[in-house]
Amino acid sequence: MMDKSLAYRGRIISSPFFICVLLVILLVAASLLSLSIGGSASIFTDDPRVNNAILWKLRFPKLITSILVGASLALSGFVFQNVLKNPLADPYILGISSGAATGMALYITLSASISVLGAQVSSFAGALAALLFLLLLMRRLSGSTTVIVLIGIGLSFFLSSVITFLISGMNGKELVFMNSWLIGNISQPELPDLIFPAIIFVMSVSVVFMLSNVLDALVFGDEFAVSTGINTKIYPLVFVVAASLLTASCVAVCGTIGFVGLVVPHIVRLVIKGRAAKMLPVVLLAGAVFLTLCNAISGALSFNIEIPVGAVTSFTGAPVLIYLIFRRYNVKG
Amino acid sequence: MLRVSDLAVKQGAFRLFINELVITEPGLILLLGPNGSGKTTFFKSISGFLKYRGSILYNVVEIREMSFRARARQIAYLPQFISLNSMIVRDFLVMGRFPYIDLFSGYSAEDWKKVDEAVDMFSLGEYVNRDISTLSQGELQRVYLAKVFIQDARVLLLDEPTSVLDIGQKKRTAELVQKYLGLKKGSVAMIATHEPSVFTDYANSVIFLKNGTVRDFGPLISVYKKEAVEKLFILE
Repeated sequence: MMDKSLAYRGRIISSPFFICVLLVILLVAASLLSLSIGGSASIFTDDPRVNNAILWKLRFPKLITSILVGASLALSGFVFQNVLKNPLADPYILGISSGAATGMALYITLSASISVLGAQVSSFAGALAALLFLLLLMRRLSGSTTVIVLIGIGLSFFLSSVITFLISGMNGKELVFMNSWLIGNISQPELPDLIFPAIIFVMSVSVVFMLSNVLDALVFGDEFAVSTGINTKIYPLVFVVAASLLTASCVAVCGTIGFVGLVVPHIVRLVIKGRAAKMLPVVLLAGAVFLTLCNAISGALSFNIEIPVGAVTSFTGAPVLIYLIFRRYNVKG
Repeated sequence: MLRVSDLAVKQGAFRLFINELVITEPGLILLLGPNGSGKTTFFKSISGFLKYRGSILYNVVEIREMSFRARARQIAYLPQFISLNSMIVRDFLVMGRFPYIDLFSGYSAEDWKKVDEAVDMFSLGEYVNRDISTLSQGELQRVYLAKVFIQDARVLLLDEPTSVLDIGQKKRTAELVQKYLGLKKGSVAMIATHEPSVFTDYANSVIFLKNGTVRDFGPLISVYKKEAVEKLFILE
């Protein structure tokens, strides 16, 4: 009797629907928290009108950014991990973000003044250039995903050295801007800046949802996928493009925020197992919750200076990752 | 049903060359040959996974010109190795119905019914809700074969489908293949194996493959002889 009810409860807890409901509640809570904790740049005053402006002009855009970017990065990481069949894949594995960083560094170096729009456009252009380079090579490769990952890593290293060259020529103000972008910061965007990433998000989510059956089969390797009737010349490319565009749009808006795309899909996989169609909503929500919580924490920690959210995600995400890996491979159970 | 002519496939330093091979009769065909003789390469070419020169016709259609989904409806290939990942067994099995569904829609009640039928046929009831990555090698091999059956194809290409099974399951697998051929009229199952004795009760014909060429092809009774098999496996 006891066993039966426990098993029943276990099934409810690990059902995707229950987890989604739980995550929505968590997201609302995290949102309220991050709206009520401002951080140094947006502390409430005695003037209600100023407070109103702080809430809607500073804290609200930050919240929306964290939800959108968190969900995007988690989805991008999930897709890359499945398509590249590599558990260490994250949204930045193919060097898309290094392309964006190079675009950013070039813009800072070459432009006389720095504008948010200019920074976004140039980093998105850099990411697209990196993606195009990869696609040109991928067309001529035999389709092995390991090869793509290795080329992506090579590209990242090459671009990192270019970035280092550019950074060594920067002055103080430029350096601060570049650094905050490299760590990942969600305090820059205003609501209109989010329209373009939102469009990319909706498009990519739709594509991944519609092709979720394909994603399921790709995980089992190309031979299996071909014999199941999946065009392995086209679909891996479609997924790589969708995930890369997601990454590029996030990076353009708020720099390279680490760990969301790597850790969130892993945590989700530990909780539920199933077809991609079932896991995707959980991945999206968990990404949004994670980054929103990190946003609230970064707000709580920011007294005199603004702590970039990218520092918080790594600070909280890295121990979670180490713990999960340890628990999974701990020989002493 | 399958007509291979002037087939040339390159896999690194290995070359498969088949002048002519015509399969017209339905039934079970054994593909025998020493390691590295080209059995897997042959299957990979027919399944559309490898590029080839020459021609492989399925009925009158060239394999490389068929769409991936149309091909998977006709030809189901069971690879020797599948990269393993977490997934519930039922969710894995239903992928056998992928070639039949609209690309953007989900699996229908009928698709799931086909899964249930295969689960019964293979007696997989006790694993059906388990994570596939926690199954034993033998359990996995049966699940993989069940997925190929669910695909309901006219041509089955089974690459060592019994290599890790116990003796009882080997026999059971041979019976299941025979049952499939009985249910799906006009179908062919080609089985690459190093244990032909499991299937000799059911096989109609045998293909001998060595160093990338067909050494013999014909009815089991006339081709599958002790001296001929021994000669096939002697290093040249």
